Amino acid sequence: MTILASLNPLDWLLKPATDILDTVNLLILGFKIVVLLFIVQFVRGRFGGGPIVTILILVLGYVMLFSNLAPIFTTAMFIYLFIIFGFSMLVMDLVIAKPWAGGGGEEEGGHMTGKQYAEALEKRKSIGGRMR
Amino acid sequence: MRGFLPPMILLLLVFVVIMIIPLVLAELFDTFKWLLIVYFCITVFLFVKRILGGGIITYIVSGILIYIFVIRLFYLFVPLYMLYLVVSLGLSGIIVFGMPGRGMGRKAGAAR
Repeated sequence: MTILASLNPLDWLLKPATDILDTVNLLILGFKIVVLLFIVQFVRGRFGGGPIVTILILVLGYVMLFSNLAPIFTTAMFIYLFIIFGFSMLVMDLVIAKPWAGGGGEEEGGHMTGKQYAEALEKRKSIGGRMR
Repeated sequence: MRGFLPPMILLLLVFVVIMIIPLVLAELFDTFKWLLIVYFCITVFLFVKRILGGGIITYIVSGILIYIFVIRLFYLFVPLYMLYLVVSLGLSGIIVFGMPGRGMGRKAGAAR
């Protein structure tokens, strides 16, 4: 029976898809638990301990993770985690600074020694150019 | 190096290699894999303990998180943790600004 089931081509198509969906669901569950821990940390840091704080944690956890507003809050939380883990600095380095795209190149004379500058000046004079 | 690969792709390759190296080592050496598992278990437990304090809840939540991230999603968690380490320790700046190109990573006489 198992051999016949494995020969079904639909199984070959559906098995990886279900595996990926299982993994994604597991990842979402883990992410929700981590978000709940961050909520606990935030509320306890602000209000200390006690039964009212526990109720507040439960309410906030329900609203942020299971209510209709959950997609908004989880997206915001994802961006928050992205920022506090420092990935935003990496993105800023890549998008804004662009270390390979210029800024201190030899053409502007930023890192040239006097000898190199004189050589470049001589070279440009010989071809009729003008040194900036 | 310039002209051989666009710097952005080269940079991505560097990060991918950094993320994949522990996985390759874990595949090659079983001991290294177990070392990684133990290290991540301790890391997850300390993360939960820092938030929830000591107690039975800490052990339960740690167990759930360890099962999800360390046991089931090991091959997803390890590269992400390596990327997190590289970024949080500030090594990403060294990698980004140390790339060969027109910027800080280029030597003074490289253009001539």
